[in-house]
Amino acid sequence: MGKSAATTSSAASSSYGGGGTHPASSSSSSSANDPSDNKHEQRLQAVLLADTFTNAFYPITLEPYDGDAVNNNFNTTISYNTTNTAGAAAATGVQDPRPLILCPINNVPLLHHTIDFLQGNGVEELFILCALGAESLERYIRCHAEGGGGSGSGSGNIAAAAAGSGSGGMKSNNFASSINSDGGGGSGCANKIVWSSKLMISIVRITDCTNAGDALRELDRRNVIKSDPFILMQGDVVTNVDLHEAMICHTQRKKKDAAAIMTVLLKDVGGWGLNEDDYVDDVNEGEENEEDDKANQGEEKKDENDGHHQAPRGTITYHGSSGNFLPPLRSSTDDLLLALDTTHSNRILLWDSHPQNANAALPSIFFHENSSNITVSRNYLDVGIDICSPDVLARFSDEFDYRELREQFVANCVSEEESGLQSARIYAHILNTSRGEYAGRPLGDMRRYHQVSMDLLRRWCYPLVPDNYHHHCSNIGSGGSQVIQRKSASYVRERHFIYRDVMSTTKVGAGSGMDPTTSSHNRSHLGRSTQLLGPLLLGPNNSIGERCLLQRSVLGPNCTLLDGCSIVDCHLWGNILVEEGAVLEGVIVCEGAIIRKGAIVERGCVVGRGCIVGEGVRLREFTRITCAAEVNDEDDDDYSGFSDDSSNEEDSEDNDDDLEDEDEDDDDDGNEVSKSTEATSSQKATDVITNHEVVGKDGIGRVYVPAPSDEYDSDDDEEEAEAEAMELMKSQSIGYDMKLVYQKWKKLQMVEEDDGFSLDERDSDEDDSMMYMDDEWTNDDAAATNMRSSVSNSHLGDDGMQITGRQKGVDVVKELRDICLEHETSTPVENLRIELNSFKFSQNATYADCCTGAMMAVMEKIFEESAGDSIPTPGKLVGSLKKMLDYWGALFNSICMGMEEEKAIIYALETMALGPVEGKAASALMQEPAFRFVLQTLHDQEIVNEEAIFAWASERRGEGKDSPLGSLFWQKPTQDFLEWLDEDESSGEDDDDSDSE
Amino acid sequence: MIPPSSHLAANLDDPHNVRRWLQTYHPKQLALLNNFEISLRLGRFSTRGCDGTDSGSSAQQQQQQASSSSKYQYGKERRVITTRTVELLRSIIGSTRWGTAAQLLTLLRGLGNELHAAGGYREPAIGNMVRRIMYAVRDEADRAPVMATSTSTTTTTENAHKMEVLTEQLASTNLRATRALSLSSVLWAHPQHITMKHSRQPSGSVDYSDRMLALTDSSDSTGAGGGSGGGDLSLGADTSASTHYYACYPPHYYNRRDDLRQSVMEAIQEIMSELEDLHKNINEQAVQHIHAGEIILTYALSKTVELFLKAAAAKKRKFQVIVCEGSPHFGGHAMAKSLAGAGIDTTVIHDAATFAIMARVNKVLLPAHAVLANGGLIAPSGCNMVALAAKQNSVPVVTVAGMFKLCPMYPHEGQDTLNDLISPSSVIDYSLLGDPVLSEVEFVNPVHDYIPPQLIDLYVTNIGGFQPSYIYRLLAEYYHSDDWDVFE
Repeated sequence: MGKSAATTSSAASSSYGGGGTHPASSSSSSSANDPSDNKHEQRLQAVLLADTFTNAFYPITLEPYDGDAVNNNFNTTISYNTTNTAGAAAATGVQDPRPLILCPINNVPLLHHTIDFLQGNGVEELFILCALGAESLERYIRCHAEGGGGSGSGSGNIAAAAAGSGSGGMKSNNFASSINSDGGGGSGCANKIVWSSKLMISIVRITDCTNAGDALRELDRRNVIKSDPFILMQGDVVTNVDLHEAMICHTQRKKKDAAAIMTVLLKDVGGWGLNEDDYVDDVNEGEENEEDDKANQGEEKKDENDGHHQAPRGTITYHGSSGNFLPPLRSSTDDLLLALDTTHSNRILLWDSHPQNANAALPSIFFHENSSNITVSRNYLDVGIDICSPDVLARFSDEFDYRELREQFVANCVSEEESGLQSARIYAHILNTSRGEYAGRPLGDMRRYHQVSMDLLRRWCYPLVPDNYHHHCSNIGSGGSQVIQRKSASYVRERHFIYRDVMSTTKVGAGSGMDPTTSSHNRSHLGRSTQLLGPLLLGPNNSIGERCLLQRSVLGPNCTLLDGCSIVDCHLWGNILVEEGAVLEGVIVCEGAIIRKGAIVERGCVVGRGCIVGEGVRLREFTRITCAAEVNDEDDDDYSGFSDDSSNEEDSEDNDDDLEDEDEDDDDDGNEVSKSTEATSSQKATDVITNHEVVGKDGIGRVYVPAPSDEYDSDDDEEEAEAEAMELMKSQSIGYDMKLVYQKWKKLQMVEEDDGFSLDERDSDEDDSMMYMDDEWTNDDAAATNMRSSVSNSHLGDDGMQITGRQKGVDVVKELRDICLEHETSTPVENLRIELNSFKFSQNATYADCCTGAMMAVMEKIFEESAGDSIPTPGKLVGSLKKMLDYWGALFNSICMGMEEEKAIIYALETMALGPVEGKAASALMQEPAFRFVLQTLHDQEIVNEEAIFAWASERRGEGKDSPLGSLFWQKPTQDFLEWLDEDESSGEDDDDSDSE
Repeated sequence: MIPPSSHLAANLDDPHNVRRWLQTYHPKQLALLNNFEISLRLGRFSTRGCDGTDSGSSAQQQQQQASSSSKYQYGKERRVITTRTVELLRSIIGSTRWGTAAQLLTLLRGLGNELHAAGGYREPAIGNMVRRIMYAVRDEADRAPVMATSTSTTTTTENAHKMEVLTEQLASTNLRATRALSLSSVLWAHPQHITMKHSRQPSGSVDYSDRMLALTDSSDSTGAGGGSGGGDLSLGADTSASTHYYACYPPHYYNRRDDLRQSVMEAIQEIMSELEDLHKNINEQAVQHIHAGEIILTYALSKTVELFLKAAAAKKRKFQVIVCEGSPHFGGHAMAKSLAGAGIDTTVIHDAATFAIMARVNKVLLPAHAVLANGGLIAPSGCNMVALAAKQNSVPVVTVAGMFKLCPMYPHEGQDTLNDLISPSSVIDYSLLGDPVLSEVEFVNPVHDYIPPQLIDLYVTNIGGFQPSYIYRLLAEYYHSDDWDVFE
């Protein structure tokens, strides 16, 4: 009968024609369960990079995480929830760190938003690449999947309601069995989980990967990505974008041009808008007019090029910033500078996210192209969603050393274009913010976490607002027709963006299938004299005492705030007790933590899972405390003592906790003495190392100290590295003033500028460079043009030039120097010349660069040879220099083509002398006659001739005596030398050699 | 892996089981539902206002469609959503295995809950469609004879027989009771009028159980028999919960009817064709309301209003239209363009000029988001101001709305009724919020206004023109009072 009815309906739908698609056929084609369905259209696939491969959320993501705690967010049946699950986790022997994407934002794990977003955009198969906490993630997904193992969302809760307090046990059984079952399946391959009838999730474990590049290569190796395009998404994105349009554009582009392999989503978040005094932007594009007018700085500049014959047929639009503020969504570690070709559907021409780069270069070939409008902007935020063709993965496999998706892959793809080697075009899709499209990356760091969280509460991401939550359309129990407990839309919006759980006000259905304990827990209490301000989200089952102040905060489920607390800019993740008079400002408090009476937790702090901040303690700003063990001992399964607690009654639980905590403290005290002798072999749950001087006598938790980054040079001071890491951590915490970050960047850029000044090939004279460009242009055969158009940032003048056609991040001079240093002096110098020459060509360097590098190498060798710490006297210096030049002279002779190169040698010397790093070299060269002697020696050896020296001298004449650049020049011996040289030249050239001897 | 409680899912006796029921028996239909819900939740229907052709809503198909309308207008083309809803319901109802009217009603109620939770509360028309189909089901179940096809247990039939005999005379007075001969059908004859008071109480469950006690015999036995198996009712909590729901419906709803499906599908088709002919029916009345030489003021963008005006213009009426631009979405601009394209004399004013210009206006034409039970109107934000200005100047306010916008609910929340705050992006550019001072400012962007009935003079609907005071009467024609509850 059912069948006949079905045919009836489908007949109806097709015959009446109201709905074009046949309902039955569409449903069959979309049935995700059937793997043989592939012969139809390829289902849209997506890749989610669940790890950001950063430690911004340490120590939270280091703490052990048991899957069921997640239910916290949904099940209101929580007492201190780890009760049953801890048992389950222990039973299965899983102690896995918390995956980043399971961190709750506004009381919902980010994963749910992500999956919703992808599902809403038609993704039918999702691959989650997960390194850290893959076990937890899989368990979680299985547990919440509709069709997969574990209890379905609805049934689980009904069962919970029906079976009362046994629910936890039932769930844990499910966990156990599901884990067991997939244990047999083999962990190597991705297990498919049916999340809903539309979406299949595979978790790809990439435990050995430490960066996005490795992860994508691993994915490519598995050869699972078939759909073109697929969506590549970072795990930390919250957005409401409709990808529909971007996908269409991408597909159309791809059809026309196979090289258009990627579309990157960007959002305009506004630029850096600090004081205009210390923030001056000028577009310094070769032949373009200098815009000095600061008043115009904020506005778009559309300058038609003014008729130079080499002028590209296009315009540059610079989006400066306006106003006086900082873009709140920006990361504290990258500073994205973009150039977009707006005529060609926003093709990306430049991608530079290094904050320390003061300069950026735009290949001139982009100006050739017909009527290109190039927009250079720092206002864009990388959303973290890309629409890619599978070629992208192949590209990653080819370039085995790419680690980062953005800094390396995108940046290089974009800059490689002009060399014509591999053409991969990357386009940008800019979110239409006026349509309400929003994107934020809350898990990049905690400052942004707070910002995005508040933005969500302020409804910027509109359909994604708490009163529209729908993760778990399940109902827990059911009353009559009126009183129905639903998890969906359980938040109601009140004035001033205050959201409260509706269950706190709804009466629980009488006599329904509700678990009595559940119902008693479902009542939230809010003290009448408590002040609620600003965006605020109050989860279910909270109890808030009198005279509290809550502002810009998120309270998870089961938080208890006693009288007189102050919670501002905080995120309380659930099951938290804050005792009387505690003050929290800008803090993330993880599950199960306790803040004791009168404690003050300052901005930027993190209180980890199960930590306790003792009575009256003042936790200094940017302190992160955790119960997690040190990063190194992985197999350590310690955890605070809550797990043993099985009481459901909240009050008694608190007491229990108290008792137990004290026990633990005692243990700790005892252990701390014995630990020094004891090997760290078997650690018990109570074995949490506690910094009592920080968290107080009755506190639990150690201070997390960020590990210094690996990239730091080993010869750098250890302390400095730690300080750096600490500073980075602070900048990623709530409440950090981004102005400081900006200032730091500025300083970095200053350093870069100083370095760059002497290291880079330089044309301080604008006319020179123009000439240079003119020449190049006229001889141009479109392959490698050297027209440099540089866009210099902020305070930088016009002298920051960078060579195009060069690999990103390569310091050519340094490389050249290293080549020289590594050269075996036993082999003929001709070999070195060839080597330098080839490198020069590969990086589009000049002979001047080679000279600089070689000179620096020579000097360095000299200092290396001069024994010990003693600074060689000028005489000695010259002696050894002469010796060196016996060998190296030939090289210089062959690579010094003219004045440019000779000048470069002098600059190199100058750099050595003034350089900020080489202390020994600098001091040796700065000794009074040393520079003169060296100069004279070079002159005598006919490596540098008078003209070059005079050219250098005339440049330096303008410098003050006190300025670093002028100091060498104004040295008395140097002046003498120059004078002598001057006379010498005028008197006659014959005597040169004899005089110097 | 089957969850331990999955045997419960077999029962279509509780609206809250619907999802599980679908999951167990009709995964494909569940997929449709899921898809619809996601689109609804993410607001995709308003951004991708298509012409309602891809009811299958397979994402791949959607992608291949050219993005025909990229203009973002919140809630534009509400009829599309409504049509989609009906299509969804049709495909689910048409292809799932329900046996009785009661089961079908439970299914519908469950679907209503689902859709409501997924964002349907923002589009009241969705709930309205579910209610209308429920009404159609009740209508069919009441109309047709129960006897012949009853497959319930013998006790039920016997009971029913007994009751028929007992109540024949009583029932003869009642039209519906003669169709369904039972004591209960007498008591339930016109539930709209008889049981309304009870069912609207919050403690409805208690009420039902009381009533159930009165009908112990029949309802208990039918309860067990009407479901797909008495053995399912194993857990106490669930049994009690489900019996409450049994009590919702008259006993003869639990009888299996083979022809019910066919007639329900026909009823749904009627609704569909009503939606299709909606604008045609409304526009037929255009010339009655828009007279030559009049100055009509309208607010922002509305498909219904636009077509209404164009229909009048097509009849060679000469009139002038003033369009309020409808900040911050500025739908008025698109509206003006469209109207001017049809040869109508169009003027755009900014919203603040409304009051000043009202003195020259002959008639105000307002769009509708929902029409409420008291005759009030939910309209785009800003319309209340227009209506008040019109009242001040005694300008008649006419609202054009399809009957699918009629909601059985009362605006007890004032301006918050059916209202929503959307992203403030149209009010202020996000990139300006880096300013620490500005970031402390609250930016609020409400979507709708509630306009009380006394400010509205006439509703022009697809079934004719009505005064606000008559609206409550229409409710009884469209919805069964037991279905009035807001979907939870």
